[in-house]
Amino acid sequence: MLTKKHNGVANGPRMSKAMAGVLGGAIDRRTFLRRSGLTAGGVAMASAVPAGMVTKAEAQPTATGGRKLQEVKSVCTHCSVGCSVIAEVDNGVWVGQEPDFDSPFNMGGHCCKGAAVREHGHGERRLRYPMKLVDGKWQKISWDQAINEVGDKMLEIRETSGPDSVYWLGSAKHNNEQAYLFRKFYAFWGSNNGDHQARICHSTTVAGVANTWGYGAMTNSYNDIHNARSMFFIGSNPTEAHPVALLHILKAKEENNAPLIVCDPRFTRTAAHADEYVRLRPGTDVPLIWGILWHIFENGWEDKEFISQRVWGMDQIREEVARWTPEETERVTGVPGSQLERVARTMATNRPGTVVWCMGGTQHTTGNNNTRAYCVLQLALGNMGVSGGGTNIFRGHDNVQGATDMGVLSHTLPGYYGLKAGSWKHWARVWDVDYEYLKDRFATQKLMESKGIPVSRWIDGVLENKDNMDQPNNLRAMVFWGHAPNSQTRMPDMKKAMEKLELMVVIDPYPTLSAVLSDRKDGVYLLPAATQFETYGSVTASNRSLQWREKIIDPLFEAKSDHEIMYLMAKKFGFDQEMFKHIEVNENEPLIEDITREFNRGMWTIGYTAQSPERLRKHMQNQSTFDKTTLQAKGGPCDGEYYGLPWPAWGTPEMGHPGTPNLYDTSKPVAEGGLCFRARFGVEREGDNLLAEGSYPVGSEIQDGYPEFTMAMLQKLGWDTDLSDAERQAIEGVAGEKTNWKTDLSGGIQRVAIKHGCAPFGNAKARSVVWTFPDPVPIHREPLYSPRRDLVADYPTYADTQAYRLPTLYESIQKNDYSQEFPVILTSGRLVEYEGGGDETRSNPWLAELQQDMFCEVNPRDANNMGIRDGKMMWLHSPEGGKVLVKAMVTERVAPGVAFMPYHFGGHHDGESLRSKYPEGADPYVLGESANTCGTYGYDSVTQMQETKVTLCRIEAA
Amino acid sequence: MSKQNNNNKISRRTFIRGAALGTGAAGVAAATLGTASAVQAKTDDSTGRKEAGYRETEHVQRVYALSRF
Repeated sequence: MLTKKHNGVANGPRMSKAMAGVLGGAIDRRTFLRRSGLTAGGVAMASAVPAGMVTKAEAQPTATGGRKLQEVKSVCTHCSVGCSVIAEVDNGVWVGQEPDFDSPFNMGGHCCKGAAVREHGHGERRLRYPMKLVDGKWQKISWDQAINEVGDKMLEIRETSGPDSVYWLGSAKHNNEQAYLFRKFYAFWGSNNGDHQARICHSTTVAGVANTWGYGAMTNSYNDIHNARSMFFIGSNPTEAHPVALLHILKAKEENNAPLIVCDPRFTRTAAHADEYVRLRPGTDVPLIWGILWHIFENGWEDKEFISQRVWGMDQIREEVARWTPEETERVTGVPGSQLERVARTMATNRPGTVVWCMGGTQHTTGNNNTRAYCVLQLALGNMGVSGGGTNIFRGHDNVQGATDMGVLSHTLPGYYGLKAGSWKHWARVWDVDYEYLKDRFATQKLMESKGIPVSRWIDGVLENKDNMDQPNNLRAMVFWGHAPNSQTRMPDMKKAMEKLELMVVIDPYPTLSAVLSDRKDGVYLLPAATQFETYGSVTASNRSLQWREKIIDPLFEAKSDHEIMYLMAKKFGFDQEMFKHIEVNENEPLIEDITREFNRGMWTIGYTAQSPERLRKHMQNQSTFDKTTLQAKGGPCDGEYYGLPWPAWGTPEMGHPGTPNLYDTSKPVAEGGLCFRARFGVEREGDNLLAEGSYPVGSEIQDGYPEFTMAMLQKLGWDTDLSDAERQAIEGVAGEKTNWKTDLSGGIQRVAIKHGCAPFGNAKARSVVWTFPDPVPIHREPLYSPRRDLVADYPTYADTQAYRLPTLYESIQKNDYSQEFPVILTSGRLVEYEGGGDETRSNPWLAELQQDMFCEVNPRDANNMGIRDGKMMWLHSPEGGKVLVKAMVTERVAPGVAFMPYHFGGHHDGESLRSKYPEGADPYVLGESANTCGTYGYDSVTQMQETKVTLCRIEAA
Repeated sequence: MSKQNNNNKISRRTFIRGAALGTGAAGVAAATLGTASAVQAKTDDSTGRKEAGYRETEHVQRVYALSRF
């Protein structure tokens, strides 16, 4: 590792002597904890070992009095890497945590968050029982009272304003079964006004990538990076956001000598590992990528054969790229042409290479342009569909991938089927309910088939004039179900929206900032949900592998699992019978395995059909048999399967597909995990053939491109004779010969297609031009809040428009010049110690002690100009009126003219602490200003992703 | 892993600890910490001396061994 060692022991003070002087003495951890009230009246612990310690079971013979500790395996809930965790449980109490050396993902390693998960079993700051805000005070109420009051109010709203006036904000931290159930829940409620964190995280990725070649997910895996010969990171800081991924990244760097290129406005801890650091101006990703491609085309480094066989539209890209000469690229991005030439040469001479991006690239008004540009770069280099290459998108929360796949979004259904009548009919079939019944749940068929309001805009759903909205009335009730409020921009407006609502419900293990942000005196309910360690089920890591968590402990205090709460609410609303028709319910708790099997029966589009609970459990029990690079089991009970059966795992569980480790890899038969690009965009465009030419997965009987499979196609090929009678009958029952690989509930079409070596979804070219998007060829547009008025003239933003039921502004904001009064670019990002909105991790004492203050990174030049001193307080003002009081960190890490704030903090507002507003004993240890108080308006032109990575601000000493 | 004195580079953790606290209205003046061992095989003894954070315990050594796959 990187720490200097003497005799194997790292030296270095963890505690500055200077500190001792200020506070009157060094304070060790136990004192800190004692002062924070942790050990006072805490939960009884069976073990003498201090909380959060990793210990050896056998070192504590006395702790359990000779009883054997139970070992339970689960998966960390803090990010999408999916590190396994082994919990030691003594008589129902979680007493210790052991590393899981067998996991091919983390091999026993953890970041500080993963090492601290035992706190979830301790729950000092947890929400313990349902609470209601009455006259500004929190009152304990019973679950019955909570469900009844909340339910009655919602039914009244439904009656008077329609179902679309309640917003169901779900969670990336639900497991797959809960996420799927949640999507089903708000479908039965009768509205598309539901969403989750993916909207504000990788929505532009999913849209951009899926519209390029078929699926919008990480194409290879963290482990596959071992085979990379070069690595290109843009807007991604895995050292802090996906620390254990560094295990795989540094292996490639050190063993393959793979050059690591990092593009980021900040010199992050990831940049510290880079061979080449590229500092770009925030919001100039497309020019940067086109600037690299300029050199690639100029020198003929593109993979011509790959392009001719598997890519459409590259000529149109060439035209656009031709304008991005080194001079123009430098003018816009600030990056010297010579550097980008070197980057292009490095990537071209070190293939296969992988490209990774995260929020730095996605969170922009042109996010979908950025993500498509990254894809086009990899297509041009021929780095797709090959081990060591790919677009390895690192997702955020532990199950944001799963929740996205389950369709917890305002614009689709589970499996990305979309909202058209045909999709609803498919799911009506799977759910075994009448399509007409479902339709009647909605206010109108039009609303049923139109995109709902996304989480980034819920506040406008409350505040906007309802005549300007594409739904009957404003939002009157808001449910935060496992979602923080401070991850969204425009928090001053959010405060207003919260105060205008008639009902706010927070369903979470913690009160969250939603409980205290507004000045409401009533109409707020807090319902304690259990964490993922208090239940069990499947979770999907970023690489599309599904892992199975086992239950470690029962829900703490009066918390209930999310799926139990969903059942209780469904019962209150009267649709529990229909919703749980094929899901067994025991004492109000729906059976998780029944839910898994239900989505196995319906998610044919992305191959979530073969990952049965039994297969997944077997993988968890035999983790050590999987190869750490290929992720394939070599021998053992899972022989031949890929760890976690990464989707698509085609067909039914009985068909035994091993999963698809690397997407679009034609070097393997589809039956063994190979694939090609999806035929999703038609067969022909402007006279060009959109199907693949001369490229197909190994063993394919059709040795060329082909469209997606329907029954009619099987018949034409004569392959329908391979269908069984049962399959044939099922197909007939759906739509006869029009039945396709997505709607056939028997899986027969998929099985037969694969039997003949074909991918059920067709074999096409990837398209580098998306003709249905506002910018078919990705182009540069300046951010809404830009300091470069000269470039705003040359590269203006979009015209104002209407999207997702709401007016959406672009031009009318950008036309104002804020750059004089607000000259500094503000960007945001993550810290390793915290996750998301931060209330959960800031309530974990082991993490809270590591990062105790909110802060802002400021360049020395700007600091000196404004009289800002390192470690002293500063104000940061936003053009939209928000302001925060934070500690200054003066550092060269950010360029002159750029400031950075981490977004995990909450609980301070306008310089004042809101601690007293939390329910007693449930305030996080660490509070701070929210960066998004200064986050401004700006939404992606396709997905409504918020523009958090670039706006303007004014800084001054406090 | 913390870096001890590097030239001009100040790690975030050192900054937070070393910076004089003008906490004022910012509220939380939670005391900073002493040793934060991520891993501890034995509980510390009564000498009151705290070891610096990172140590090559058996766990850490095993993770390194597995990383050399």
